[in-house]
Formats: sequence, C-alpha cells, structure tokens
Amino acid sequence: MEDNERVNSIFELFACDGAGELGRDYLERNLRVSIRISSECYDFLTKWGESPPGDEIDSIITAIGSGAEIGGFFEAANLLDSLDRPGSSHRFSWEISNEYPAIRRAYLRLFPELLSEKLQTPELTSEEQQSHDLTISELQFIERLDCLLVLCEIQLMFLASNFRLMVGTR
Amino acid sequence: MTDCEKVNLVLKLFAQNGEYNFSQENLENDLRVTIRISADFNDSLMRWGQSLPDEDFYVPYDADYVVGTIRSGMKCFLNLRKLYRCLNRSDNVRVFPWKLSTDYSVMREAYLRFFPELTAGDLKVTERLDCLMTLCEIQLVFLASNFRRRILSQRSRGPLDTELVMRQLDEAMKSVEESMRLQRKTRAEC
Repeated sequence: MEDNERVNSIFELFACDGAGELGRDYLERNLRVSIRISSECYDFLTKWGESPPGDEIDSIITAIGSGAEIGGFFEAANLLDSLDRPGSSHRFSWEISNEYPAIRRAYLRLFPELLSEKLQTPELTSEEQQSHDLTISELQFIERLDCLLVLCEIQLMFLASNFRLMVGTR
Repeated sequence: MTDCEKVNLVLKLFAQNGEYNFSQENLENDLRVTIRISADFNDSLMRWGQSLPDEDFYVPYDADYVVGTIRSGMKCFLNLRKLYRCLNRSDNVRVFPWKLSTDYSVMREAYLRFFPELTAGDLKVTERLDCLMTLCEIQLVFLASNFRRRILSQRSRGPLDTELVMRQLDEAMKSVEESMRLQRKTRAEC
C-alpha cells in the first residue's frame, strides 16, 4: 500500500469510530500529522531493515522532530488524556528500549494494528461498563489512539537514541 | 550563579574560541535556546531529587511542564545537531560518556555530572558542543520516556477525593506565589 493511501486509510478508521463525537476537522487537526509521520517511519523500518544508512536516519529524525515540535504527537496524547476511558484499555505495550533492533521489532509488530478494521476491544468489568458507558466504536477509537501513541513513543525513543549518531556509523 | 548568568557565561565561552562562527543570528539563537533549556532541566533535576514528582499532586514545573519545555527546543536541538555533525571532532580529548538509559536516576546522575562541564574554562569549542549535545540527548530520552506518563498514570486513579484536591489547590497557590516571587527576583538580577 502506498504511503498516502495508507495514511488516508488509517485516518478514515479513526474518523469512522470517532468523528461523530469529536468532528472530522478536529481529528484532521490533531491526528493527521502523527499518522503521516508514523507511516513514514514504518516505511523507513521496512525499507532499510537492520542497517539503515546515516542520511536516511537523519531524514526520519527530522520528520519525527517536527512531529514532536509542531504538535502532532502531543495533540494526540492530549486528546487521549481528555477522553473518558476505562482503565483496562492500553493493551498495546512494548519493553521500552533504546536498542535499534528492539525498537524496530516493537514498531513493526504494533503498526499493522492501526490498520485493523475491527480492532479488538478490551473486556470491561461490570463496574467499568457502568461508569463509562462506551460504545464499541468509542472503545475502538480509544484503542487505536492508544496504539498510535505507543508508536509515537517508540519514534521519540528512536530520535533520542540516534541524536548523536554520525552518518556512516551504523 | 543565576540562570541568566549561567546562560551568558556558556555563550561567552563558546564565543571566545573564534574557530567557529556562532555569531550568525539564527545559530546564536539556537545555541542560546538550547543552553537555556538545558539549564532549566538541570534546575528541575536538582529540585526533584531522586524521584519524579507524583503525577497526582500538583507540582509547579512538574515532568509534563519540563517535557513541554524540551519539546519547544526541539528545532534548536536539531539545528545544532546539524552543525555538530559537520565539525571535525577528531582532536577532542574530553568526552562525555553515559550509558543511554531510560532510568530516571541514571539520567539524572549523568546530567548533573555533565552540566557543570559546560562552564569549564579549558574546553575546546567542539568539546563544549559535544557536552551540550550529550545534555540534549539526555533531555530527549527524558522526553521520550515521559511522553505517555500522564496517560498511563490516569489508569490507576481512583474516585476523586475532594478534600485532597482542596489541599493540593492550597499548596499550588502557595507554590505559584513563591515562583512568582522568584521570577521577579531573577528578572531584577538580570
């Protein structure tokens, strides 16, 4: 799937589950940048495998840096923080690491979840069901957003661990 | 030494060695912002001590605030990184090694060890820049490892304790008054 097509598909999945409540424009402003950079990062990791060239690392680091600086990642994080959500969500996780192979492995494992049409939702306890009253779509939106944020976190760790890397040293 | 004095001293030390021209307006600005944010981070680590402030309590200049500050300097960090990578650093004698780690106490120990080196008089400009880049690296690791902190901490939150919230608000008001007093004092000194 081409990068643009993939970005649009992911965005549509978010919009399908969450646009009713939040509005499409709001999602466009808050999620599009993070989805685009996350998709670029996926291409980078699949294309260059275990030994990416230094100038390619530079280029993706600049993209991740812009995603962190101009908003993108943090707007997405603020959005999830503001949502009423059950404690049993957040099933996406990774062993936080600064090692490239571990970063790559976790990213490639989690990214395809963003594209899942029917994302598995967590089993809510009866207490959670009573206090949150969320639809399946809303739960899917929360899960997908959580997945996107874990991917952003991995990207930020990649940026940090390559910050002082010189071209050609990898 | 006040924050302003620290920033000005490090800038002056960079300018003393004429080998590289930091006087271009953009570059000087990138350098100033990076030093300023690095000094702020140093102050936060000193204030926090061995553990990060509890997310459930309002603390002025908490981890979220500091993550926001680091994020605001991202562009300047990356601009300086471009310069850093172009420089010939093969003659550098002083190095600033640390084992990259997401453990707060490891980050803190390395940062507090390296930060005073920024004002060491005997560093070459490339060594000083190397030191500054190491400090930026530690800040970026801190940013990455705290990116989801607030979201994850909300998982374990119980029902709202109104008495606790009132107490926290009271403490917060006192802290804000104290920080405003400190800001006024720093401005007067600058």
